[in-house]
Parts: sequence; structure tokens; C-alpha cells
Amino acid sequence: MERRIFLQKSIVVGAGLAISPSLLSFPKDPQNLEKITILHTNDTHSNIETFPATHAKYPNQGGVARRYALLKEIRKQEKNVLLFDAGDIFQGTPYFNKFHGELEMKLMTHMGYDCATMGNHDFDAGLDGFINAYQYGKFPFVCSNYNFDNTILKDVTKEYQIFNKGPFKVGVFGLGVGLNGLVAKAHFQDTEWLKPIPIANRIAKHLRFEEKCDLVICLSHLGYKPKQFLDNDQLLASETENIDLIIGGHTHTFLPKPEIHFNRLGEKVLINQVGWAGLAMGRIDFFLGEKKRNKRHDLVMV
Amino acid sequence: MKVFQILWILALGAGLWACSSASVFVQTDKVEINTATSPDDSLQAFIAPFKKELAANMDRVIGFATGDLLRDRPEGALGNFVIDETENYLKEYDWLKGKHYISIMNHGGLRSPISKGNITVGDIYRLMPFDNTIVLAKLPTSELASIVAYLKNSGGEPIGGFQINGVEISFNNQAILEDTLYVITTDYLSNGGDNMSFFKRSYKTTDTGIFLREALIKRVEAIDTLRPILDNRIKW
Repeated sequence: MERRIFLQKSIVVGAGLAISPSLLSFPKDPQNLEKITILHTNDTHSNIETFPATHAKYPNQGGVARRYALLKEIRKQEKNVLLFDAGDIFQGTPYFNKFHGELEMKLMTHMGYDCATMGNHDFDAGLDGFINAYQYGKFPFVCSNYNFDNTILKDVTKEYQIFNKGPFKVGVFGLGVGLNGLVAKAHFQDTEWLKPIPIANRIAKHLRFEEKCDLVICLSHLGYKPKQFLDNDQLLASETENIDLIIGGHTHTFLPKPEIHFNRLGEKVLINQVGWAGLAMGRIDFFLGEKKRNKRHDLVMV
Repeated sequence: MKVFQILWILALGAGLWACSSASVFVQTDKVEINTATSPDDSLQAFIAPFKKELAANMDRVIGFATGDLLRDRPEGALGNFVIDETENYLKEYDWLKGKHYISIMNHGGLRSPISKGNITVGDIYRLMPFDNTIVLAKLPTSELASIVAYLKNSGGEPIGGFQINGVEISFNNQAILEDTLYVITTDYLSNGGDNMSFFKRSYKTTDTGIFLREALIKRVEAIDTLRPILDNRIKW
């Protein structure tokens, strides 16, 4: 039913487009529409300090205190801001070895992270280690395809989270990578990994049509195009519907800018990933019209 | 004809309606984080005590070396330590059960020696500053010939599980009797680092996700007293 409505509409849009393509791109000034700013990081890997000037690859880059300064600046300018992380918060510097994730959680809370998903390295302290660190985290973790029911993480993470920001309703869910062979069994214990794509379709549909979210965002730690895993962000984009944005991680991929992919209905889906170590933040501003915000819509790059 | 024109106008109108109501406009940016932005003072102050405590942690003594562990070819005590304790760590965590295995890492990856006396966390960080993870690569046993050729060509790399004495090769376990064997190595090497091309022919590569450095710190803590070992793993 919903699909038929979409198809009819796209034929009509197509007809309009055939006459005057320029009309499609700027029907009115998007700056006058309501705006929401999505900021994101991934694979920060316990990097707290700016890399030293002598660093072979990324001298003078990164650092949470600089990230926070930029965040404050953006929040001053923008009314509706959400800040997400796509996992692998832990492991990579002695800060993690010494404080076991406590500092990372405290800093993310301080910086006002709204939501994150768990990467494979977030299991590195074991499930009890994660809980110990997470007592300092005051933001939700969304893990939609890890079944923690038989573990101590039961009810600690959420299947999805909805954010009401200004006039916007944003639904966020999280997908994690298979743990077998990647994480020591002792660290994930009886966590059950579920195939991500059917779950993504179920939750995204629920968020779009039951919860009537204006935007549906997936925090994915599947990887952009991992070598050894079948499920990845590009496949996720092409085999699902109702997702607007996939914020990726795991493969430490530096995408120069968010990529446009097409879902299984031919609608646009954005994929972005910003490398690792907190060297950069991704920023995506969505401008939404008043009418039918929570219905299927076309993403128009400005 | 006239009906057709009306339809077109209707379609155009509907098209405009559709895109104004069902379009979401998107603008994107990448926010680079570097020294062009001054760090936030409040957050710097928040981090400072952690940073101080961390510096102290790097000086934490985790063991004692009875002699210098140096990097050398064809064989060095430093390489033997890294190989043996990696194997011991994997054994402890059940990664090697029922597997016939050998180990190979790279001479160049050992960045700093361990000196006689107290061993600190910082010593292990200097030895292994990279975030290399431990990998198990499943290889056809026939690849042993290329491994030995590689070792001969380089003059020697840290190895374990087998010995080379001139042209003779002997094994600590029954690896040679199987069609396949597991090779313990690092993600760097299994991904083609240092031109160890035999890893390209792996049947399967399992990244344990365990940082080599972390395994070494845990093993030094466990064994406490570290004795340099040279046991003729490679003799040309």
C-alpha cells in the first residue's frame, strides 16, 4: 500500500521533472525550512589527545577538547543538533588500558553525545567491563542485532531510540558486526548476533510508519565494505528501505563526503564514515518541509 | 489534444506539489579537527588528572628481566619473547585447542629492546607502539617452503613452533603431518605487510581482535620474571 503510493507519486514527480528539471531542485529556499544538524564520529578508539606534531600520518589532528570546542560553536549556531557515534569507542591508547573506558564515557557524556552503538572493541573489557564503564555514560546505546537476553547486558542497551528535537522526530537504531572470530568468546559470552538486514528493515519500517519519525538513522558498525564480512553498509543501503542515513564505522573508512546510495525501492540513502581516532566529525543538515514529513520522501542534495 | 495539455499541466502541478511536500533537502560538511581549533579549556582541565595518572601508569612495573632482550637475526631474545608469550596468551584463552600451529612475526615490528631490570608498561608500549592485533592464518602446509625461503632471504624473523637448521626443518608439534596449519601472526603481516606473500594464499584468516601489546603486558604480569631465551630456532 505504502509502496504503491510512493510509486504513483514518483511517476507524477517524474512527469513534472520532464517539463522543468530546474524546478525540482529548488522549489523554495531550503534555508527557510526547519533544519536539523546531525553530527557524528566513529572508531574514536580511546583517542583523547591531539596527535603529536611528529605523528607519521596525522600530525596535529584530533583531540576531544578541540572536538568539544567545535561542537560548542556549532550548537551556538544551530537550534537542533544531534550527536552520534558508530562504535569502537574503546581500545587504542593507554587511556583505555588504564581507565577501562571510564574516561571515554565521561567525555562523551560531557560533550553531549545523544546516542551510540557498540563496536567489536567495545566488548574488549568484557560485558562486565562495558557495564562498569557505562555507569559514567549518560546517553543510550542502541544495539538492534545483538541479543543480550542471556547476558548481564540485558536491558542495558536499547533496540532503538527516538529523539524529539524541535519539530523533528528522529528514530535511531544500531547494527553491530558478527563477534565470532573477532572478539574473544569470554568477552561477549552468550551474546547472540542476529543477521542485520532483516532487523534493519523491521525496525526502520516501525520507526517510519508506527512511530512516525521524520528521519530514520542507522548507526552501523558493520563496516563500509569489509573483506571478511558479507554484511556491510553498502549492502545494507541497497537491501533495505525507510533508512535515510547510515552512519558507519569499523573499517576506519575516510569518505570525503557522504555517499548517495539507492535502497531497494530506488530511493536515496546516505552513507557516511569519518575514518577513526576522532580526526573529523561528519555533519549532515536535513531541511524538512512542513507537510508529510514522516512519509516517504526524496533526499535532495543541496 | 486539449485533454493532453490539461493532463500535462496537472502533472506539472502535482509534481511541484509532490516535491515541495516530500523532499528533504540535505547539506553535508566534514568538520576537520586539528590545531586550527583551540581546545576547550574546561575539557582540558577535566582530562588533566587522567593524563597525569596515565603518565604514572606507564611507569608501572609489571615484571623483571634477568638480562637484555635484543632484536637480532637470525634469532633474537626479543623476538623469541614476543613469539612465545603470544603463543602462551592464545593457549590461555583457548584459541589454539586442537590446532597445529607455527608462528611468524617481523623483525622490523619490534621497535625497542627490553633492558635488564624492571619492565614497565611503557617498555612494552615502546616495544610495540602499533595497534597490531594477533591473527590466525590457516595455510596449506605446502606454503612452508615459501615461509622458509622468505626467512632465508631476510636473514631471519621471529618464529615459533618450528626450527630451521640449514636445510633441515623440525617441528614442535605435528604440523607437518597435516594438510593445513595455522600460522600465528599479526594483522599487519597477514594483510600483506612486509611482503609476506604466502599469507595471500591463506584459506582463512581469523583476526582475534587481541592487541599484541595487551597480550604481552598481561603475559609479563603473569610470568613476572623474564629470562632471555635463545634456542637456535634459526641456524643457516
